Amino acid sequence: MSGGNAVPALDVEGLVAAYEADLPIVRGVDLRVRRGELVTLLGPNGAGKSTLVKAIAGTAPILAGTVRLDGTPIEALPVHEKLARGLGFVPQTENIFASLSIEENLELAADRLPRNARRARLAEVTARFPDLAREPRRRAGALSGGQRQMLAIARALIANPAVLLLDEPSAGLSPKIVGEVFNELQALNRAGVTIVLVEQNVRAALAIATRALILVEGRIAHEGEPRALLADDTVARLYLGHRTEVTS
Amino acid sequence: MIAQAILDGLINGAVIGLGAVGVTLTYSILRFANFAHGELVSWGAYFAFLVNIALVSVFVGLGNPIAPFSFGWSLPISLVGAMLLAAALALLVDALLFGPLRRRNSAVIILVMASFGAALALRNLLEFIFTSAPLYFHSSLQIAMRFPGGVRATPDQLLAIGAGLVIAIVLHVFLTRTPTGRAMRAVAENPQLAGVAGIDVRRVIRTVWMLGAALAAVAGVFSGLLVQIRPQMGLDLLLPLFAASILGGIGSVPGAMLAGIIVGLGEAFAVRLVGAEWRSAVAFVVLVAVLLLRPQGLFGAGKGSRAS
Amino acid sequence: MMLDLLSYLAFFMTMALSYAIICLGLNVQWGQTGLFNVGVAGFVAVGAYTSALLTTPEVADRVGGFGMPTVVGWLGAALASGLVSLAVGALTIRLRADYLAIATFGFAVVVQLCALNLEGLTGGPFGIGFIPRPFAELAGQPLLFSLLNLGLMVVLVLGVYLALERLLASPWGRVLRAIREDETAAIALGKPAVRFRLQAFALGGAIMGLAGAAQGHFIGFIAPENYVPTLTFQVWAMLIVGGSGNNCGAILGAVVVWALWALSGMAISGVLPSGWQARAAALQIALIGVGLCLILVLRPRGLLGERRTVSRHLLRLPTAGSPIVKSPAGEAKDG
Repeated sequence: MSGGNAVPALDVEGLVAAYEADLPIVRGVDLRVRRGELVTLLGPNGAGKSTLVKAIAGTAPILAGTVRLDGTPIEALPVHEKLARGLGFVPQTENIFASLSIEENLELAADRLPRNARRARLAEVTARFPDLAREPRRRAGALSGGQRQMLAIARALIANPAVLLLDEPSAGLSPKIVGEVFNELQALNRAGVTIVLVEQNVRAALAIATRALILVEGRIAHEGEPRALLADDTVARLYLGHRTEVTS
Repeated sequence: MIAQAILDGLINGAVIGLGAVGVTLTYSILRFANFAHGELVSWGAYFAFLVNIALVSVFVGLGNPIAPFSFGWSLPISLVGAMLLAAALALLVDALLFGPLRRRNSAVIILVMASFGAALALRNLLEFIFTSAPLYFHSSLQIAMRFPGGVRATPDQLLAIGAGLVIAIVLHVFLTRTPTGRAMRAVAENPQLAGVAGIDVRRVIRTVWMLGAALAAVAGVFSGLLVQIRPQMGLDLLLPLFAASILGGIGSVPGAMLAGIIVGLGEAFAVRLVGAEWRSAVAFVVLVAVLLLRPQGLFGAGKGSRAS
Repeated sequence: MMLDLLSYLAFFMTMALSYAIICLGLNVQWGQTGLFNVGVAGFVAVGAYTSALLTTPEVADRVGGFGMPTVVGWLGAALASGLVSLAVGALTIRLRADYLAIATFGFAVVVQLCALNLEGLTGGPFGIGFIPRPFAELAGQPLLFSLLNLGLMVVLVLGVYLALERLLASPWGRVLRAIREDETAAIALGKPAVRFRLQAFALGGAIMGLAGAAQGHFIGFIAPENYVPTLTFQVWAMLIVGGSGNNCGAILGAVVVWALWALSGMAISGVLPSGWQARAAALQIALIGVGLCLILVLRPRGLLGERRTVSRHLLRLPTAGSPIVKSPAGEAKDG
């Protein structure tokens, strides 16, 4: 690890993002993620959480602000360049190539690595996800929701991202699968992957997060320790609606 | 009688298939119907013609036919030259026209309209430079070989069938087994996700243009070799190319080749049944049938073309 | 000399206005419903041939000899084109934009093919001549003749324009506008939305047919080679230049583009050697093609700009996933 205390893994400053110039969704967000953190972004629907991570990843337009990865500004780079610099992204929907096989989905990502590192990395990642290794030739579109999510995460991992962004990985998954996915995320975090996690499933997210931020109407409204957030009733009611008792 | 129709259909179909393979690739990745693709076919043929003339005037020996074909080594060399030049032309048109429109997130309709304009410009430029008088790669007549069943075909024609099959196979392997091929298929499915997965989408787009144009040039050269070279040749092929690529399923190389052969066979039989002048109508009939019955084509991604 | 110039200008304007009518028809299809018709030439041809067949005297080896008055011919043209549009529309209306383009393109190709080959019906490559010209009895006075024909065309254009403006302000037009402005509402409406669009498509086609008939009667003679992609392209250029979605723009665009066409034709043949006529024509078309591309890249909103709603059709390309949806509703905006 480099001298990570001074330089945040991910440094977002004054980010304004929108799909239409006159309708900003993210209205000036500052976000500093230190190496090894698992930061979760929570907030009501329409708050801009998804747009925020998309803007960081490059799939939503940035109107203003900077994004720095390990100190290097990346907001102006094309999407694939950001990945090359160490930013991984697992979108909420359409996050795998349904028409390609499991193997091909992963090989795609591995193609970015130097030739001699590919086989090894593929083996490493598939070892983590034995479910995927079982039928590598299977068309990704035929996978169940949970398996798809795992594949999407596996795909993002192949490139050895320094920072991994995830947009609502629990969406549409059964509680049991959510548990598996989140266990995996926690294990990854413990192994050293910095994670930024957008979630609606508050309980599951707070259970594994090292820090939590609440986004409301495009701005960070609250920040705190996950345990504290779970206990604080006012915060919960104001920003999270009645969804604190989430199936988990 | 029927056997001859089948053979003619295969020959014609191979040429259509070659063009359709290029269309299906560019269509699936660039996501719009490029009405200018036919002009890449025409320009490919004319490029080859010019290179051929230049080569033969300098190295006369290259013009000597390689038995049993009607052309000498100058033609394959010219073909390679034509492929490169057509690729350059495609990149130029993309850089000047489609690229800027794409970056502006223009609707599909604008891209199609622009392609229509580009097609008109390119076609008429050819007519301006060469006039509409037909040109040929060689002046001698080829003797057709006889085969069992009373069918005849010239070696050139058989070569077209062979080339079509070989190219389709090579391309299929390329798409399914190589990193670039994988990247192309990924971009065809979801360009945004492809970027997230680390693929340089712009580079893939450039590659597709070059590949599509090169294939168009091959189709153009064979068409010019087997029939003639005229400015309208690409336009005449356009509807069959679209019909075949849609019938085959946009994005499927084997589909495009197979569909090309089907259209070719259809035309061959139609010519015998209702007359040669109705040949172009066959592609339209095929097209309408596919769009009504099975818009995703034979090997399509299963999504079809229903608008919301 | 002066009279010749006036005659020429009258002729020029009459032709330009006949194109303006086609443009108005296309505007109904495109501007009001967003349907991308690349087979304009086909619908114009259907109208032209219908009227010609209804009004020309008998000719050997060809259907005809009905000798109907011009008015009947024109109405018949509009009706025939309208019906054909209905048929084509019914087959293609649910297709996504570029498939619709290909299908209509194919339709135009087939129409031209029929015009060329069904000699018993259409006179084949030689076309149909002796189409009765309006005010024919005054042909001996060229200036008066030209001016009267121009007047007739002006009346026709105004008539179509006013009728369209009225129609668009009517309840029918309001529904159409609602469908155009809000694609989601259109989806919610479901079947009826398709019906309205189909009606608009047929109306546009009928107008194109009427224009084709008017052109045919004005010139007195039609042939398959008139109805080629270049015609479709000219009309689209006119609509784009004038500002699509805009009826005034359609008329203005027609005149402007026609003027450009005529001027560039003169300029080119002035520059090139005399034996190069065919080449000159080709260069002219090539330059117009380039011109349209330039407009699309530099200023797609045309000369008069266009209403915001139509610009929706022009501005969004799906950036990911299946290209099925015609007008994507934009990225999912969420929290």
